[in-house]
Amino acid sequence: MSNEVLIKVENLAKSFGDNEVLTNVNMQIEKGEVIAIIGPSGCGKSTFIRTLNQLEDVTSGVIYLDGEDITKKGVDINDVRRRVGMVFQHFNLFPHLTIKRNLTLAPVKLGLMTQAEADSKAKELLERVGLSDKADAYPDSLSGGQKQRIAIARTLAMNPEVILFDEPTSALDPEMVGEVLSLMKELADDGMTMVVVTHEMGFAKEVADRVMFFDEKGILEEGTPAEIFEFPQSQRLKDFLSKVL
Amino acid sequence: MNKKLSVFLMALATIMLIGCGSKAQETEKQVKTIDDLTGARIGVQLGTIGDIYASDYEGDEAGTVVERYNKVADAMQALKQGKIDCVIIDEQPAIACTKDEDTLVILDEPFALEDYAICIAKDNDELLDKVNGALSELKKEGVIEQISANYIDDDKKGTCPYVTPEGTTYENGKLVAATNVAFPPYEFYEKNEPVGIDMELIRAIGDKLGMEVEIEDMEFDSIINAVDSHKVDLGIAGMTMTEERLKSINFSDSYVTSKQVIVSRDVSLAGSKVGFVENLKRNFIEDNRWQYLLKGFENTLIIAICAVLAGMIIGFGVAIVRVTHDKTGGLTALNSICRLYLAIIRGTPMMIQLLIIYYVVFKAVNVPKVLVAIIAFAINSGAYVAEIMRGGIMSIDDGQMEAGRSLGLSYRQTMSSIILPQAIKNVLPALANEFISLIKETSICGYIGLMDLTRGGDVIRSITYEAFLPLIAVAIIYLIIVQLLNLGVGKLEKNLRKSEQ
Repeated sequence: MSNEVLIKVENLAKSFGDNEVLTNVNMQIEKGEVIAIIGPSGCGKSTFIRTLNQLEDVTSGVIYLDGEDITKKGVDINDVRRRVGMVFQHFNLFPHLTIKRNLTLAPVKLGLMTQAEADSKAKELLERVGLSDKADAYPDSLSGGQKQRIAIARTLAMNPEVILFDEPTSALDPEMVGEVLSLMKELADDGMTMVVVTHEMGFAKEVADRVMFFDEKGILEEGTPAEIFEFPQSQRLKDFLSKVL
Repeated sequence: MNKKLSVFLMALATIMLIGCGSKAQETEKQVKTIDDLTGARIGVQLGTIGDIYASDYEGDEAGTVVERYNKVADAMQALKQGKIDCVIIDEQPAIACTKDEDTLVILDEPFALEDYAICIAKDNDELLDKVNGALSELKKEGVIEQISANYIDDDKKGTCPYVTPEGTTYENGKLVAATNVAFPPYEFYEKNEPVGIDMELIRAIGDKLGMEVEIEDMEFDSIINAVDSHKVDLGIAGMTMTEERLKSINFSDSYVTSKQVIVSRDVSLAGSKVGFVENLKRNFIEDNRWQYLLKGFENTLIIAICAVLAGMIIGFGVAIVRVTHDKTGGLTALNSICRLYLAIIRGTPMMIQLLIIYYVVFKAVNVPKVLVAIIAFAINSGAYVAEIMRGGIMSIDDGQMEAGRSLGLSYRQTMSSIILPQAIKNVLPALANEFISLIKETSICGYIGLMDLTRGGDVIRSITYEAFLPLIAVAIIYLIIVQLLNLGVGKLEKNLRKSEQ
């Protein structure tokens, strides 16, 4: 694993009106790292991950992607988002398009690939997520787990430098969580940089390089899975773990 | 299944209408003298001199009621069916429309005498002088008498039409004359051409002035407006000079003296029934009268289709501005304009909008009426489409926009290839409804004198004085258009729903 820093966050704060959600968040992510973000509901985990591709703008602070400040005015936000993929809790597949078109729409629209290139890339990705037979199906005919695997494939079609996962298994039936997590593990093993907001402690423990515990508007504790899960320092983390483990 | 149902419904509607139409009503009051007008239900044509006279009786203690109709034919139909007791109209139209009606009689006693004159805009004294000059020459030459005789004189009828003198040239441009072609023998349609005393007279005047006459057929009560707003050069429609009219318009010298008479219904005279087939022939086959419907049908379709397409473009634009403002807070100024547009268009009746666009907005410019109608209906439809589309866009989950944007697509790309296709699919039934109501709303085009389907039926009614068949025919044509459209939309919806299997 290289030590090249991909994302660096400095003094980030975010408020919705008078409601302060995040304050004084500092962290950095190296290329190839898998970061798991855990914490109780409403602690700002999702808001934080959404600032990383600027779906939420920041109130103050700076986010660097490859050394470039993506929070300043005039930055090509669409270009940033091409490099930072995102997988949503509710999949957000495009229901009016076939699975293949879901994968090829953005690369072709953005002129990154020809339709033929995108098609062959889509074929390859569908094979990789094990859903080759669904290329011409529409999203509504898929199960939740299949939808999320397609959503991951859709993100991969853009060749992103990092993928943000916003609670990717929370909306799934329990028996479908495994297929999605194992796909994510494969991605991690292939060296993809990933930031995962998750309630799956098993996944965090097993796959993540580092775990960040969010509570009270920011990162309360961070460390390797062993440090966080075996030797929690703060009382809040201990309480949290006792509830979820 | 769908087809069978619609045919059944059409048949049902027809039967119901026939049932209503032929139901005779008992007599309320028999008008035999002028004195009987007190307490009677008087029918008149809106804005005519009969209307003005009848209004003097209106609201008196005896409970006299004045019913104002757009056409003489409507008033006559109402009289035949006992909805009113008498009709006050000009003598010649009265003769023309009672000749085939056994139960309608003209009272011997004339109601009033009056002079017909040509109306010209107040600030157009130059034309007024020219027309008066032409009139006095034509009077001297006996041309006016000749024209009248050709239509009224029992001995000379049809024998002495006006003929343009040889060598007449039209170097002085066009003379546009407004009239209401539903007033025989002064103006009526024959073989799709407006003819009659006024029509020949205005051509004679045009020949004198070296101007080529162009006739604009419109509602009688619109003529003065059209002249005043310079939509047309003059109005010639058996119009009587009155104090009230002189306030907004100038009149030429009188060219003919007419009488106002009272037409009443005498139930003691048994009406001989005309056979259905014969009636059908009279209304549609004779003189190729079906062509009025065909021409009207064409115009209705052209207006509806063009207006709905333009309306969609306007509606999409407005909806996108509104949604973008709601979602991002941008486009504040544009959004305010759009909201004003929506408030005005949705807060006023379509007919008023059409009249304003024709008489006020396009006052000084000469734009084809079909285009005026398309513009008016497109602007109107756009407002409704905008709200339908806005609802459709708002109904799409926010996650769709986020997913599109997080892939690096711009707001516009996400809108056009992800949000709008889904929104349109959702609102398609509502859009189809909008189109259907637009088609039916075009029936008010007659108010600017445009020959749409409804007016096509009206023209036939004004010739045959028969309400039933032309109206039913028009209704059936509308019904068929709408049913076909429903069928098409159903298919389209099915196609779009593929993604939901």
